[in-house]
Amino acid sequence: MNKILLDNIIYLINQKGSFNYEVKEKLIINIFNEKDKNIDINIIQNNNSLLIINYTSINYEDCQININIKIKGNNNKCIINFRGIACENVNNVNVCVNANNNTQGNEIVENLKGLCEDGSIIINPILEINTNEVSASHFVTIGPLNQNMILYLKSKGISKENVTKLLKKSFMYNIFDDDFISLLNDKEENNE
Amino acid sequence: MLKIDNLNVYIDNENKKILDNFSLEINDGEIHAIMGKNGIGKSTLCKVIMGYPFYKITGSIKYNNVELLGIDASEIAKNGIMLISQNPPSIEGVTNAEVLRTALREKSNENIDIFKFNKEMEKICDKLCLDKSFIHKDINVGASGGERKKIELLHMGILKPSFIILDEIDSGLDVDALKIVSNFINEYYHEYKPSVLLITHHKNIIEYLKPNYVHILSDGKIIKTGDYHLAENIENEGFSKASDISEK
Repeated sequence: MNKILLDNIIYLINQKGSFNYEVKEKLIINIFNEKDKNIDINIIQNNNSLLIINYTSINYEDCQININIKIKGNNNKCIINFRGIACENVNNVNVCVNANNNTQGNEIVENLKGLCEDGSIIINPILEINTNEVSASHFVTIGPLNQNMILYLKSKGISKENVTKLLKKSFMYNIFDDDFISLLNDKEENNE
Repeated sequence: MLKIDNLNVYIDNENKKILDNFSLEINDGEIHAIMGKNGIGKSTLCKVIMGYPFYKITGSIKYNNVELLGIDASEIAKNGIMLISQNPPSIEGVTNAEVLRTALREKSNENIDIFKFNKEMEKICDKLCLDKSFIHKDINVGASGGERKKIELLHMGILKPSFIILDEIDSGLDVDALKIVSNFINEYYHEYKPSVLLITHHKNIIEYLKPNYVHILSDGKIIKTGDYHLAENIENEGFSKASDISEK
């Protein structure tokens, strides 16, 4: 399913291939990938634009994800939220944001989280900054499910299987808006 | 009945012994309180009963003749035991309603009547003076210490355990919140007659709940047992004089 809603929000589910965009004023891309699809995203920001990418991936086979953002102008905001779960596979994730020489007033945030469930995930957060006039940060955490949370939920009488489902779902869906979550829940119901 | 026999508990991978030949029996419908200094092993006892995996253990813990040692925490909970945590975690993306529905569905293997479920949650929130918005909020996210305790009791009210472990339920509660929490526990007790193991440092909650027995834990074992007046004597004399304190 591939739905484009409104002028500046794109919702993508299980898409593969390459996506190239140039942001006008505002662009929000929500991506959900559970079909082991390799994906390349290439985006250009010129001036005064807002870009938010919310990407969730749960994969059972090796998967390569590349997100490349080029900031060519001034006063742009770029926020990338990534959540990846590796199940018996290797996820390779490259997130690269490049801010051009002589650009000013840009803000970049890479917030990248990986969960290893019998697989491994490699996340490369890259900031190529060719200017002094930028606010840029990246956060990467990779690890297994939180043991304290698992124990807490089990102590309510919930089996490990359902605890894992609850925690994985919250890990994946936490970055999305309610509209996209509804789409994902409808998709889940239709598949059942 | 909960029967703990000669329990020895070590912190895993270390030689530090926390509980030393600890034994205790709690009959159905009894309220037992355990008091003791900080770091003496009270919370460890709670976690060991609940099947938390971080310890090296010998001995036996039986609930209604079912051996609990070696059993997963979720199975222990399904046997009717519930731990009201001292410091419950925040879990983003998982709501209280979702957790409780999942737990109830596993317990009964049936679909939940959502209308009745929501009504019951709201009724319990009213009794606890807990804002109903917490029902559909992520677990403990943005909740104060007192609210977290009330949320734990909300879970208790819905899941209806037959053996409740209250690990310092009174810590961090103001006088009004303590009264509300105590009244709720008393009301639950009078309706369902669970067994209760209460861990506390202070006499206030003991005055509200009036346990059948108060035990003092020291050096890994119970060194004194009395009725609820023991708590007041402890408050006056301190734990260092525990062995000399009157039980009544």
